[in-house]
Amino acid sequence: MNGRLALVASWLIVCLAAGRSAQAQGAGAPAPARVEVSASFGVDGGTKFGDRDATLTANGAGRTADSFVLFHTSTQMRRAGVVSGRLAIALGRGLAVEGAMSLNRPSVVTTVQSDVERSGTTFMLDQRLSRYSFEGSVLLHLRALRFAGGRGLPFVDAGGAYLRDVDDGHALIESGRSFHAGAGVKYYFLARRDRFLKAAGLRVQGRMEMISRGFNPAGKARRRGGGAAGVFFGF
Amino acid sequence: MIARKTLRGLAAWLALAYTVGVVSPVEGYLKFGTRIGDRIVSLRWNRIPVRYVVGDLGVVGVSADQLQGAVDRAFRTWEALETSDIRFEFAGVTSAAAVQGDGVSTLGFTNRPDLDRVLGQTSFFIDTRSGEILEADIFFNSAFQWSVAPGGEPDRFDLESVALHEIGHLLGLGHSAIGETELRPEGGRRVLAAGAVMFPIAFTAGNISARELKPDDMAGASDLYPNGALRGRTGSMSGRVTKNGGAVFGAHVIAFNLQTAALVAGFSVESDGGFTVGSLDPGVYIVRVEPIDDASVESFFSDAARVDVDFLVSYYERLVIVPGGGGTDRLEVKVTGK
Ligand SMILES: [Zn+2]
Repeated sequence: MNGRLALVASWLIVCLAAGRSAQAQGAGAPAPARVEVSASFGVDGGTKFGDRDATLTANGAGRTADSFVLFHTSTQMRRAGVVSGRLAIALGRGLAVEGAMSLNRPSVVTTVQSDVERSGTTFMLDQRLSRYSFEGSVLLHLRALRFAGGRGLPFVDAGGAYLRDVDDGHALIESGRSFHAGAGVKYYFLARRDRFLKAAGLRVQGRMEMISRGFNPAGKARRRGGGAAGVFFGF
Repeated sequence: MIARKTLRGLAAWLALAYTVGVVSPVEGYLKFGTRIGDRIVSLRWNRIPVRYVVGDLGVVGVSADQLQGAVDRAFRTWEALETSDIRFEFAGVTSAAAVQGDGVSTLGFTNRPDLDRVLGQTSFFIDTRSGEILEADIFFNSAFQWSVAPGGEPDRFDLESVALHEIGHLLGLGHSAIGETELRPEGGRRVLAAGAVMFPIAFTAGNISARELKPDDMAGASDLYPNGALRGRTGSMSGRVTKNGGAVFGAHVIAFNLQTAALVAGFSVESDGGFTVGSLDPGVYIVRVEPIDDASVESFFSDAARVDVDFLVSYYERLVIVPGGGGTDRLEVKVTGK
C-alpha cells in the first residue's frame, strides 16, 4: 500500500503544479470536458457480517431441545484501501456516464470466543481477499452549486457494480453485485477549451454501498461506506 | 472370505467400546473400513435398495406394529437426504430371530440384560475382499424401557432416535465426536450436548431430539452414498494436525460453516496427522481441532493407543474457503500440549 500512497502523492504534486498554472491563466467557470479520466485512492469502510454461534443440541429429558454453544464467532471485513480508475463521458447538461474499475484487498477476520474448552482464550482467524469491482454510474454535476469562482463543482452519482472476490489461495471466486449512491466535489486547477488537455483537478467523493452476494458469510445484503480522493484529467 | 464384524451400539450412560477387529476408521466421519492389501476400503452396501425385515416382538409400551412404524420412520429420515442416494425396502415381518450370515437384515428387540449400557447394537456381515456389506442386523435391548410416543415419555428411551443411530451404523457410518460430555461423580459420562445423531452416547431417556439428522450425519451418508447429480456441488478440506512439528493422530477436526452454522467433522487418521472433511457445502469455514475427550477413545478408534489426546483445543489460523466441486488442501493446524 505504501507504494500506492507514494504514487497518489506524486499525482497530487503534479496536479498542484498544474493548478498554479491554471490560476495564472485566471480560468473562470470550467465546462466539463467531453471525456474525463481519473484515478483515485480511497478507503472502503469495514462491514460487519455479524455474530454466529456454533451450537449443539443440549441434552435434556424434555421435548424441547435447547441449544448449547460450543463457541461464539463474530466476523467482519476490515476497512481497506481501494485503487480506482475511471472513464467518464459527458452527455451534456452536467450529466455524465462513468465506468470504473477498482481493486481492494480487504481482510476478513473472525474472532472466536467462549469456546467451551478454552473459555478464556480469544482466537483471531483471518483471510485476505482481492475484490475487483467493475462499476457503472451516472454523474450529475450540480453547476448551480459551483464555488471558489467556479473551480469547485459538486456532483452526485449513483450506479451499480459487478464484484469478483478472490481469496489468496484462489479457492474462492465469488461474484456479487452492489448498488451505490454518493456525492463529491471536483476542484479544477486547469480549465481551457482549445487544447487537447482541457481540464485537470482534484476529485473527492464519498458514497454508501449496498452489497449483495460476493464474499458474504452472513448471507444477507449489507451496507458499507467509503471515500476516495484523486486526480482527473479532461480531454 | 466372509468375516463377521460386530459393533456395539449406542450406550445408555457410557461411551462403550465397540469391538472392531480389523475394522478401522478411514477419513471423514469415521466410516468403517476394512483393509484390503495395503488399502483401507470403506464398508458400504452395493446392492441398493437395502432390504430389511422387522421382528414381530413388541415390548412393554411398544407393540410390534409400533416397532415397525418407528423403524420405518428412521429409514425414511435417512432416505430423505437429497444429497444421498441410499434407499431401503421393507421386506416383511419375521418371527425368526436374527441369524448372522443368513443374508437377511433384521431389526428387532432382543433381551440382553447383560449389556446393561447398550441400548442397541448393529452387527455386519461383510465381504472382506471388497468391503461390501452383505447383511446388517440391529437389535434394540428390551432390558430398557422404550417409547414411541410422538412427544417422548419420561424415563423411556425413544425408539425412533436409537433406530436412527443404529441405521447410521447399518449404512457403514461410525461414531461422530461432535458432542460435549461431563464426568459423572458415580462414574461414566453424561451428555451435555451433541451435534450428531451418530454421537456414541445417547441423550437422556425421554429426549426425542435425536430423531433429526444433523449436518455431520448428512455429510457422512452423502459421502458414502453420494447423489451423482449433486456431487459436484460439495467440496472438501484436507490437511494435517501437528504438535511441535510431529503428527497428531486421532485429533477431531470440526469444520464450522460461517454462513449456515453447520458443523461437520472428521479425524486425523493418517500417519502424518492427515485429515479430510468432505461433503461440505461451499463456503467459508472455521476449523477447530480438539482431542477426543468426550467419550472413550475406543468409541471411535480400534487402535486407541495411537490416539493423541494431550493437546489443547486449537483453531486453524485462517478462515478456510471451500469451493463447490473442489477442495482446499494443505492446511496445517498446529496444536500445543496441555
Ligand atoms: Zn453407535
